[in-house]
Amino acid sequence: MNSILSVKNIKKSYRDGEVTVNVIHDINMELARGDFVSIQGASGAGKSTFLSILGAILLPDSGTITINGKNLEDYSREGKIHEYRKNHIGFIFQSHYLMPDFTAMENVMIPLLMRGIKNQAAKQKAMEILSKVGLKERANHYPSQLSGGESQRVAVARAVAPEPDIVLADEPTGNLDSHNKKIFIQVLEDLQKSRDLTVLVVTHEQDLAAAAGRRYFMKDGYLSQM
Amino acid sequence: MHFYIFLIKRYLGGRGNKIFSSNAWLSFIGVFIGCSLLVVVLSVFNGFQQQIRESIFKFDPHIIIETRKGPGKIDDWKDWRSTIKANLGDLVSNVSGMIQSPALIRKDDQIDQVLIRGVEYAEDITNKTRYVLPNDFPKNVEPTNLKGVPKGDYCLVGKELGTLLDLHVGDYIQLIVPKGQFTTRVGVEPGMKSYTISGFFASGNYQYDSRVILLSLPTAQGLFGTGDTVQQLAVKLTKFSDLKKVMLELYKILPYDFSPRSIEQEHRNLFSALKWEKIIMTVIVFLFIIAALVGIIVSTSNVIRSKRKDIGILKALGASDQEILIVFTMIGFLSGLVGTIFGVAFGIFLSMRLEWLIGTLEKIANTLGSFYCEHVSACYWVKVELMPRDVYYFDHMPVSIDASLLHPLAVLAIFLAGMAALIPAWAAGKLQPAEIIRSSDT
Repeated sequence: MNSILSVKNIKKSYRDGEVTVNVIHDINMELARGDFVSIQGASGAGKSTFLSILGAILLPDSGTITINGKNLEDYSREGKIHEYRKNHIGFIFQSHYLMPDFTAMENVMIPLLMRGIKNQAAKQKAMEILSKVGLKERANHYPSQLSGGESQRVAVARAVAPEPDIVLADEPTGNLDSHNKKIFIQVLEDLQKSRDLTVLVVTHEQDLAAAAGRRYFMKDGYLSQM
Repeated sequence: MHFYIFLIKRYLGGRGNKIFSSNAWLSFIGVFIGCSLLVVVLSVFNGFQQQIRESIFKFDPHIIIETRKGPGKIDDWKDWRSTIKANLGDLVSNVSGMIQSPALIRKDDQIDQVLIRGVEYAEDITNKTRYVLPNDFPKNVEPTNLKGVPKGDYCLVGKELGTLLDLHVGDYIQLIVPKGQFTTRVGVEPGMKSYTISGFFASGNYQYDSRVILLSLPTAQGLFGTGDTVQQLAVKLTKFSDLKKVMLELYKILPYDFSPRSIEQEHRNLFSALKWEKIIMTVIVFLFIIAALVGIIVSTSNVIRSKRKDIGILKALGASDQEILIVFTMIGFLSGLVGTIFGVAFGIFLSMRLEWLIGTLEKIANTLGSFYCEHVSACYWVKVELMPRDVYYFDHMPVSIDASLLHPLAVLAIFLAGMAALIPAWAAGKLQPAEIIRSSDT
């Protein structure tokens, strides 16, 4: 297996007053290009914390994360954690987290511009992705003018546009109705297949979890393959 | 670069690509008003200073040479005049003898205290009965075509003194001066003589125009009975910037009995007061700019607070601390930059139109005031004069825009605007995405 992401013995704990709460216990995982992986589990099981660690929004207490052969710790030591996020990770949050002052197209353009792509090229690429998620006509609308389902599809487009090594999705259908859930799952599946994306999704949803080729279950910070 | 421009443009202008959002307007207006005020205040102070300087420098000799005992007789003044001219060459434009003394003026029943100045006029080669007025003589004289003064018992009177005593060209006045040596038996014998007014001068300095009477040197010598002697030697420089150099040369040339005194020493207190007044006003107005910079800190902080979630998202997408710092610093900096540029430009415009503005404000105030007194309340409206001519003694608002001072102040204001924006932007750059996203979820 040609590994993109390698997670070894990751641990994470929080201090809650006098008590130390172990949220993640010795997690190991390997992801290859094109993998579509889901993690299910109850609330508080540590799924989102694990995802935040993979996205370098949180740092683990111990263990190693290697992406394309480079250790996350190296990025951290060099003060370039942002480079890790920018060049390797695409994030989809439970709430769409679109920037309200920017149109759908502009929201998709931002990570492209961040990578040094010029304005016109970024616009073209953003439009292309928005067409793929069925929102070409809504490209110039602000997030407040979009429905929840449309906003979440824009969030997918934004995560996918810069062609990251891994797309991390944290409960992406959590705020959607059943109709929009179906559309969202379809869009994500299509993009994953057509672009050979590596996707790791944390979800409660059976339908979304079932779309994944590999499924994991997390309980009390322990990860097991289903 | 595209990334920065993209974000800065939107955060500065808000949705719909306006020029400025309300927060940016707040920063802009503060700096704009501060800079405009700074330019106007500095220009007016400069103008006042220049006007006072000019009125003094034009009328007074740049250096006065007296005997060390004070204004006594200088018998060999013509020899010294030649010596000074020969030694200083082109550095001086004129060296002349001068008599200056307090006196009393009498016109009919009125008596007032004046200062007589006996000055050397040049001979008029076309008319032996007249003297030619020097080129630097105040232009504003009556009669306006006055080019010379008749020889004999004629005098030129300050315009304000003429108004105070109701004097006219051709009128006779009597001048009463101390004459001869002091004796214990009679004290000082007064000398009294009548003169015809040949014209009025207006130097632009109220102190001179309300007190000084000019006589030709021979006429003054006759009045004081001093023979061919003078009290002082008056030196005018070709370039005023050579003052120190000429003073040093004079110390070398002149014997110890003579004491040269420069115009700057003579008016030290006045110039020092003017200088300090200008410095203090500059500081006060600059404090206004500092207040405007606090406005930039507040408005940039407001932008950052309202865009906190955006910062979290941008950081989760891969923006660095430095990128966030630059974006939000530039937002405050650009408001300050544009505010300074437009503020300085508007200040210059306002300074150039200040007289018109003051006139218009006076007109509006007087129209409204008299309307109120006539139609609303039975009162007597005292005409408002924002720049009373008799107090400030300027026939126009003296404004001088000093680019050499405005330039560094504008650069400093722009730099400080950047620094002001840097403070909240620094904190924005340090925000952690995890904290922001967690707080946005709750």
